[in-house]
Amino acid sequence: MTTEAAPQTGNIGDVVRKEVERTIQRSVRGIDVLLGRDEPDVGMTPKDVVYRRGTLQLYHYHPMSDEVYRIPVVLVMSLISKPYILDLTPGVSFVEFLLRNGYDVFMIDWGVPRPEDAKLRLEDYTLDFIPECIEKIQEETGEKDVSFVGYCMGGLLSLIYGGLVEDAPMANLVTIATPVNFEGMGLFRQWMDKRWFDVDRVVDSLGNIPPELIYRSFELLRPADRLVAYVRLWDNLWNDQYVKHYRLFNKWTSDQIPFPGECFRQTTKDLMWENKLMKGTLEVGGKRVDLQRITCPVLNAMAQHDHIAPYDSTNQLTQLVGSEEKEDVVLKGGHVSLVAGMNAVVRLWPKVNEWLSVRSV
Amino acid sequence: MAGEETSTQNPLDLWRQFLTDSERQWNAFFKDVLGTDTVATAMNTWVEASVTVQRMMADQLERLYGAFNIPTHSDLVALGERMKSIEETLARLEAAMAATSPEAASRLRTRAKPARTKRPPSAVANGAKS
Repeated sequence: MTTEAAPQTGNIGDVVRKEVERTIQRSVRGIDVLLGRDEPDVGMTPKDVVYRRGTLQLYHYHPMSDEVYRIPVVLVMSLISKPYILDLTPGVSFVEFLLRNGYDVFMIDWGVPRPEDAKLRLEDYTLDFIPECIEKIQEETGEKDVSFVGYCMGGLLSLIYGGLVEDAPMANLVTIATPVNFEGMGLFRQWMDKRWFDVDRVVDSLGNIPPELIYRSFELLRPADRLVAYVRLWDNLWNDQYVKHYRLFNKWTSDQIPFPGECFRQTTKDLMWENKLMKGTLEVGGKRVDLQRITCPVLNAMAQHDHIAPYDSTNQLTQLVGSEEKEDVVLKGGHVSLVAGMNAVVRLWPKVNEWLSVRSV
Repeated sequence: MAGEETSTQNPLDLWRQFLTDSERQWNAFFKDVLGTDTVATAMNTWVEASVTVQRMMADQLERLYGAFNIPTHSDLVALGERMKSIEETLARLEAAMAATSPEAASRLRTRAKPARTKRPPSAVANGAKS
């Protein structure tokens, strides 16, 4: 978030008066933030849990329109973070936006991995959990085809699913900040280089990768951000909207979850080290992932300033799929602001709606 | 002079621009430093050391808990796996019951489902024109 510049005023007296007022407001709201008072509620869009398995929950959101598009939408989240980034708060919720625009919305919430989930691998997610969820969606809706919207690793799981399952019931695919070319993963690739990163030792010792390790590695991508964020927060404590959005995003970025150990080992070796998805040699469950099997329309949305899934890692996605109808779009924003917050409200969400609406009848 | 307004820029705006520029420069600096082989090696050495210490402590605690007949981490993980298996069996039984009694399952859904007839705004507009 950037600081709102104060308007130019007539004289220095007005400037000083404005800053004094803001300083008083900062003191009041600063106490709320410090004490954690009035924490924002997240993920509040009404929904039913229509399927459960272990920590996985499949949500079916309550419709917000009198009629809906024929083809339902399933939001596939990343394994690395909690899903409420897509349902932050009323007015800033991608889920709510889709519902109000007439989509029948489901979400796969992978939940928080437990110690026994350390054995889960990509095949469990793409050949077991996702197909079961799709089957449930088909039962709930009576429709065979489903549109997939995958954010970050959720897009990757959707791609792998589509590349494994012959005639997958994938009507449309929207990928948001989804890396496919791991040679373009920047610092992550450097830090996880096989010359010095012993993934076997880490996974064999820890099981699930601890959330603290994941959180710190994300912070190290842009170390100055944390301190500057605090300074900007202080500068904008007088601004209710700024504080509200800061607390929402801060809550989510701090709310990391463990990463299943075996899945981490597999993605490190097959994707980060060998870049097998780009080379077309990735095997999951003993079967080759052939992205040419994906022939549905594909929209690949990328963020201009994505430091987590850089442009070099995301821009070749549409070249890999077998679809005739495919579109790349690069929008202003970072990895998170592309999909959530006011930037997303005015950029990505209308684009997704414009693209998906005509393909959902 | 008469009629001429003097506008005063807020001096804090200069500080805010300095903050934005500094953030960008510091992040670029750290990216260069943290991207070197030396730093990557050092980071992973630290991770390995942490993992080793954690493993040693976990082994010690397992032996200690075992000596005092207190459930260990491994015991709890095994318990979790058994509970997971029980949950999956229950889920299968629920699904089988719902399949044999669809009326009971449908009674649980009290919310009316909207018609799946929505058209995109462009199609509606074209329909209205014609």
